[in-house]
Amino acid sequence: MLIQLIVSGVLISAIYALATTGFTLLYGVSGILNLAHGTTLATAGIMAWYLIGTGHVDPFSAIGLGALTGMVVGLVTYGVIIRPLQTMLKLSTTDEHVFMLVATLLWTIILQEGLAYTFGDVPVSVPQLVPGIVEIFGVRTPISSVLVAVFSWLVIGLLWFYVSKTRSGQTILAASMNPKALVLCGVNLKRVHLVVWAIYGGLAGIAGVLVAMILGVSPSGGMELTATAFSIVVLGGLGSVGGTLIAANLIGFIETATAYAISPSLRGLPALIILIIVLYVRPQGLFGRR
Amino acid sequence: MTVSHLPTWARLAILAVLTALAALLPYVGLQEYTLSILTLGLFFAVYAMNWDLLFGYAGEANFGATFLIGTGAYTAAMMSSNGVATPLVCVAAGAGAAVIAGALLAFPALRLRGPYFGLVTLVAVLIMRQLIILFSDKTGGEIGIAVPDVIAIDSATNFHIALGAAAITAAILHLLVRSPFGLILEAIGQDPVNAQVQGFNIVKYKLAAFCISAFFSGLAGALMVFYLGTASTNVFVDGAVGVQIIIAAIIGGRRTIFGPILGAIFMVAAAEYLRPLGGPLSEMTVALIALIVLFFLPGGLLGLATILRRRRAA
Repeated sequence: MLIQLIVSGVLISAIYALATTGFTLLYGVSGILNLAHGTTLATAGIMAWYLIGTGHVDPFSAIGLGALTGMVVGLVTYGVIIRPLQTMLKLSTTDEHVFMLVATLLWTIILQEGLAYTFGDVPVSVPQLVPGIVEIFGVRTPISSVLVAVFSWLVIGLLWFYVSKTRSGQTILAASMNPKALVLCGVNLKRVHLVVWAIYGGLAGIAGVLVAMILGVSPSGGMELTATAFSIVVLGGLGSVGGTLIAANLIGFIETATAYAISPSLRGLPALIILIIVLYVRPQGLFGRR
Repeated sequence: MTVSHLPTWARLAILAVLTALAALLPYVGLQEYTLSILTLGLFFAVYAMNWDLLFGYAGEANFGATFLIGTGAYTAAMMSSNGVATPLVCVAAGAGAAVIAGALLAFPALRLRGPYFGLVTLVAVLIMRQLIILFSDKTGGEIGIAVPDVIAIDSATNFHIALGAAAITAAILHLLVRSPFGLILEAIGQDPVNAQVQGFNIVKYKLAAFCISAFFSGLAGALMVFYLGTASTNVFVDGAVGVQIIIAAIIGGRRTIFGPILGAIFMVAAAEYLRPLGGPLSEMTVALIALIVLFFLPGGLLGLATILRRRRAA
């Protein structure tokens, strides 16, 4: 029982970690909380499901196409919602913050209802990568789930390598620390933001397909995914990628334990309550900077 | 002389005249169906106005309007279904419970800055929804809870109740935002640091605004339970409903109190008018309209009036 819990916890936490790193990276660099995050995941997941359903695409390529879908959604979000809001309206910082939240919320509804209209508002799941079952410490686990977890950490590792070892990645890191100084160094900040949104979308797209594989997605379920992602990111400390990874594991385990011990329908509840408590005691999150 | 230059008493007089005219609507041959839509629109207007008090003036985005509305609605519904009290007592208890729940939520939450306050209010709705489902033997769970009593069966009377609630809320909130309290609140919303330097206790003022907002939201929620005859999570405790309230307030014009009434009635009317398109397409269209309003008319429909007037003056 305990081992089973740990195994499922590790698997689900890996996806949660991948599904939230993009969200926190985006906040760290551009200061934007994309409330359409969960719906971006759902869009990629549903697209992968649809493409596989046509019969021309296998699950592996579907992950790639999902990443592409996420990237397109991310760039459209930036180009149609975020950028115009920043340039067209002369808003104070507080106002811009709230307008951003409201605008991404409206964008969520537009995306969600567009998906519901095109594909129907039903939960869909992407078929497993490979058939078969493997025993881990005596726990029977689908091989596909293990692959998904490994793949998630691999993508996170690649992201870490990109941000800390490449020049382009270092620029992004610098933009999250001091954008003004970066502009003085002659870097085009707008291009940095475009790159970040593209990376964000790609990460969200991959995560969306994997979430659709393990948990399933639906158009109207996007908002719940946003809430989970939001809880994880805030718990870890907004903008702190390391904190997000730890929080993703924490929430993943708590949800799995709740689902096993109490009821699967209540899996989200303890995480939400913990989130509130953490916010009250330590508003900057467990690992966030003030 | 235009409306925005009128003194407060004149604006309230206009509100009273418009309310009196609206009160005649049931007697001019309006269909029962239209009347029922307007009734819901007016309840919705109360929610939107109270959201505007927090967002437009206190500068806090409350994503959990339905936490307050739901507390009022479910308190009233559970009291009534257990035969504890008469409808009016239930409504009063609902409003009171919403204020208590709102204060408990807001007091710690208001110390948080930036997006955290919005997050906590959103999470409060999610938790409440889960708890209602968890204790479904007492709350009716996802199916909802039926209310045996009614305040009135007659649709005209119900319309008048909703109209009265909206008009009284509008009048009180309007007086409030024009009072010194409202000005301080607005200052806090626009520049919290400066307001704090002036010696105002930010948390105290915001908490007061939140409690006022909770009172009217809970009151209208409880009244709406007796109008609908049931309390269910999809109507009263739902993040999506909270979003619609936000859209209504933004379309109508934030920081105006009266604007959200227009926005709420517009939303309910648009939902009816677009119904032939089907659920997804109509909701998508409404969201699209709201987005366009947000971009091109950040002041909302009432802001449009201001722009037109300035053009004419220029």
